[in-house]
Amino acid sequence: MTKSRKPPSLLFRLSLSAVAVVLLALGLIGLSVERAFRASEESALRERLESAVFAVLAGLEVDATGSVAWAGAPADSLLTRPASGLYAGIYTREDRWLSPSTLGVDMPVEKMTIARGADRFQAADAGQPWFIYRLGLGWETESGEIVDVEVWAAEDGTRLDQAMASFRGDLWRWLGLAALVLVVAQLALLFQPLQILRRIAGEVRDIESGRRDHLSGLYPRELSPLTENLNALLKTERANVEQYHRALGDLAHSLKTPLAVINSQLDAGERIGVAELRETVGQMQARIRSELDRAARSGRRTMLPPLTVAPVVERVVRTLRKLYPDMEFKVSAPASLRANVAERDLLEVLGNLLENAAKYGRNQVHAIFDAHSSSGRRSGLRLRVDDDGPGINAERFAEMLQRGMRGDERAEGQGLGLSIVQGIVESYHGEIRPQVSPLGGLRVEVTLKPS
Amino acid sequence: MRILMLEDETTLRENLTDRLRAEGFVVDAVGDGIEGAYFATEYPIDLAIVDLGLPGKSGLEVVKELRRAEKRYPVLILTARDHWQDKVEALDSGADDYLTKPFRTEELIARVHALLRRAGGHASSALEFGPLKINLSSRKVSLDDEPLELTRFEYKLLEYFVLHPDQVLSKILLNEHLYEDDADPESNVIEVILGRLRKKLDPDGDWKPIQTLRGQGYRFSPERQ
Repeated sequence: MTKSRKPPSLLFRLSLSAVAVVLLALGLIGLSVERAFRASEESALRERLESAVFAVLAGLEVDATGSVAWAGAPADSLLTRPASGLYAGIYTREDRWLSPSTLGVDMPVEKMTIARGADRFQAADAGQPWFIYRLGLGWETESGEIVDVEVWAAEDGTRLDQAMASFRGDLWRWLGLAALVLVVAQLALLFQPLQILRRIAGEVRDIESGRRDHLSGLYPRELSPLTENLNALLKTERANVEQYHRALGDLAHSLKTPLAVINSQLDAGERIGVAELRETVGQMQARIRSELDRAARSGRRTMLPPLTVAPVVERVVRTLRKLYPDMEFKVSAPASLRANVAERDLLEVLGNLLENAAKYGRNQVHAIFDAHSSSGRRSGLRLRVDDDGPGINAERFAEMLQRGMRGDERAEGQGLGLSIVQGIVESYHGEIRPQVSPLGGLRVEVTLKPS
Repeated sequence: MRILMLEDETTLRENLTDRLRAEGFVVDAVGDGIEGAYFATEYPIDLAIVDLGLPGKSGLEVVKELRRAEKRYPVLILTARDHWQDKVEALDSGADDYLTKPFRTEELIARVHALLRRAGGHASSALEFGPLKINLSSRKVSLDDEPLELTRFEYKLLEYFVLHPDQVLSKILLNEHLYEDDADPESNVIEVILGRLRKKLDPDGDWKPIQTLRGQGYRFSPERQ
């Protein structure tokens, strides 16, 4: 046996999606901030290298032979501290000068590589860890000669890597903290509407156990369709229960009187005549019918699910074909026709109308169904029952709708059936009308509004 | 005609049984569903009258059961419920007609006759076979438009033949369907009554509506005009 799995709770689903959204958003933010930070670090480094180059240039002396002398104290003290991370150098074709910081460091700049007037920035990459800025220029000596000079400054890329690593650590720590705060805040926000649903469930439980009789109206606007419909349903049910109680009470009461009469006659030792007894029994029977009829008339129907009409019609007609084997029953009901009508009511309306038609008709009865007064997804029903009997005029039909009236002694109980139908039609706010049938007899048209 | 009367309310069952017997039917009267289902499937029943609210097994179940056992005789349902939903359910289960309590006994008798007539394939209760006319409702028989006086047993036998035309009916079968208690299979009561009936239907001996098939039984197959 396969066990149907319970769908995961709302809280679980919502928390899962909240966490996913927060992680994705913060992850993207982290990556872009990291990129921006690196770009700005690199551009700061380049500026630093350029200013180092110009600081070196300020103290530069080159003589006519191309030998380099450096006069000024380095503006940047990092250039004087060995292995400080910032390095500089001056090359001519004949000579070179390296900043004191290069002492013991294996510099990647071997020789002049750059033409006069050009400059180049080289970033660290997988092949080498240095950021280098080179500037090529022509130096006019005292003798008026122009000598090619290349000045460079370099910085070890590991410094930037360290800065990046420390920044990244900080960044993700803070983003993690933010994620935690956001997720907790989201869950707190989710919890509130779920709490409202729990409250509704609690109130429904209270209604079930009789501690309250309706849902309080204190719910957010979005939930009011739910709570109002629930309240309407409860009200209908209560009204129906009350109605049944009242109907039962009325019925019992109306039977007690004739029973009391019979009892008193028995007590008095009277012989009760057959005719008299039969009349009393007839009265009791009529009371039972009229009370039940009244109960059916006033029962309220709410939010009925759609019913596929054709199979219900088929069942009634199958029954009637058995009861009236000589009558031809024809049905026109689209297979797709659905109506928000209770099956019990449809069976009752159809059974009574078709049976009347079968009693009055000569050879054939025709029932036609279509949709009527549909609103939105709720659909009503129109049905027309035709016979080829003698027909009936509108006044007589109206009289027969009155309870207990009979159209003809030949077909007993016609009026009662019609008045039951009318009761049901009223409860659907529908209409019942006599018309002339194309078959020559009576057509009864009934419309039921969706319930 | 053998009728199964399945009703748990004692007074009603006894009254109806008496009335049906007075009409010339053989009646098996039973008050609970389990015994009723046994009768319905094991006895040579011609029609069953079944109350829906039975102890032991509901009337609907009994009807379904006898239809499952391929019993084709008509079934009349008795019930106090008169909504169409109940009627449709009852007839869907295999019943043929439906009578709502309270009802007049005359109504029940009329329905029983109508169901038997329909089961015999007759649309009307006034039947004609050559010179013979039978009205199954009024139980009047005439030959060549002269009223024919039949005894109660003679009429019962004729009615059974008329409702099973062109069928070979054995002596045992006729005994079972027409006599209350299991008659002695060796008894020649049927033969005696049949002999008298034949003489009344065919005084001149030139029509022969009921034939004897040696070793098998009898067959009612009159030439219809």
